[in-house]
Amino acid sequence: MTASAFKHASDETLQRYACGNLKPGLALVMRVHLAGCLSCRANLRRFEAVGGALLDNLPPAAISPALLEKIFARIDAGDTPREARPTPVLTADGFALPAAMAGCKIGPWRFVHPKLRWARVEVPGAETDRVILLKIAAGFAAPAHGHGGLELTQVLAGGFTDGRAQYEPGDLVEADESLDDHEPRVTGDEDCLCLAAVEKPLRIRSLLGRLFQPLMGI
Amino acid sequence: MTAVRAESPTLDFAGVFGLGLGRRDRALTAKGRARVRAQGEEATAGAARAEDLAAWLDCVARNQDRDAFARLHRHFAPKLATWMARAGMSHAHIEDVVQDCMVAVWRKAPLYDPAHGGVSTWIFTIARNLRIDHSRRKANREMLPLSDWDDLDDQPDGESRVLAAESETRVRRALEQLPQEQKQVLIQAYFADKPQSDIARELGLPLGTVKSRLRLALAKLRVLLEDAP
Ligand SMILES: [Zn+2]
Repeated sequence: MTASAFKHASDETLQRYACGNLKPGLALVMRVHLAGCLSCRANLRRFEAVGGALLDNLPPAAISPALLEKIFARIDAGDTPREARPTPVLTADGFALPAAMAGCKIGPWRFVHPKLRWARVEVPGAETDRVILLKIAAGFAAPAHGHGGLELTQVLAGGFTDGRAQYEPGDLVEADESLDDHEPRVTGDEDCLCLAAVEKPLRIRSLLGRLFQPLMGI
Repeated sequence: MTAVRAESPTLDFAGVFGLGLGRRDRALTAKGRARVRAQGEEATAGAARAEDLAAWLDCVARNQDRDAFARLHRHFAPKLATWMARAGMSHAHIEDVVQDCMVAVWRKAPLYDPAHGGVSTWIFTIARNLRIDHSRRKANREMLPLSDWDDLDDQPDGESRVLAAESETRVRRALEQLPQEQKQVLIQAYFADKPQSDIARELGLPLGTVKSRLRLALAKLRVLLEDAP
């Protein structure tokens, strides 16, 4: 595996996103990544096309014969789909967040360490999903960690390395329970801003778990 | 799993649902069930050709042709209902979502762009988004609107055009190349919204086997669909 393979979504995650099986918090991080990544988008299209072909092959279920009439009645009534409200661009700490995060609520920043701050991200309709913005100051190194469930981290600004690859803005770091422990370290002089979502409550040994579990119950 | 399935009202919705468990075959072993389901899925393939679907949608888009729409409805609505039932949606909500989806197909027909992919893929993404919307609405929350094709404005970078041109037939051919055991896990991954450990239990397979079959299937499909035609 080349280092660039670590900067994108896995096939499994793209497939889950393609069929709508990824939880909203993880899906949000994916949307942010996809907005800037042509290669993951091309793979997503492939897995959507697979979904289309598989849908076409599904056995039919019995549906009410009146359903078509109901549909025509709605078409005739011309009930309009709800309008997408324009949503203002969000900022966090002076940083303009990706458009894909529109509609989210960003909580107040909290320090857990002089070099580490976080803010909770509320995803509309999925407020209990575990999503955070993470701001790590230059020079900070996190303790080695493992993961529980799927963890997606999108780099928004700055950069870090974990020994496998050097991550830059736009890169996605995907980790799951199969990943060996690694030690993320912020590189360069700039603070590193990340959007992170985790699938399951973190194990105590995990990075976010160690830092946040006592504070935010994630 | 049997317990969960038995509580589910979708069991009665139609005999072919979920794990393909009708009352008739509920007593079969996990492997036997999988075989029954796989055969059922093969049997319904190819009822309408991709070109027919595109022609019908085109008639809807250009002439608000209700006969053509009815054909699309007959083709897709029962399959969408199967998907929603397998994904664990309650009986009461399945027809709502199918209805929303078909209304969206009528309204958005003029926006369908074959450069993005086939009709089945387009409807797959519409239904996917409505399913997500529906679960958010259930939570009684304000929603972020989702649009089709993921509201990602793909540049016609060659990549999407290539995929579109032979999309349907090419994807079908790629799927045919998968071993049946991988295809079975793939179908579960797409339409049953449940953890892989549940899928493994239902198929009577170790979790690691399910994971590796899915990984192999997805990698193979990606490679087959990546290659120049
Ligand atoms: Zn990517």
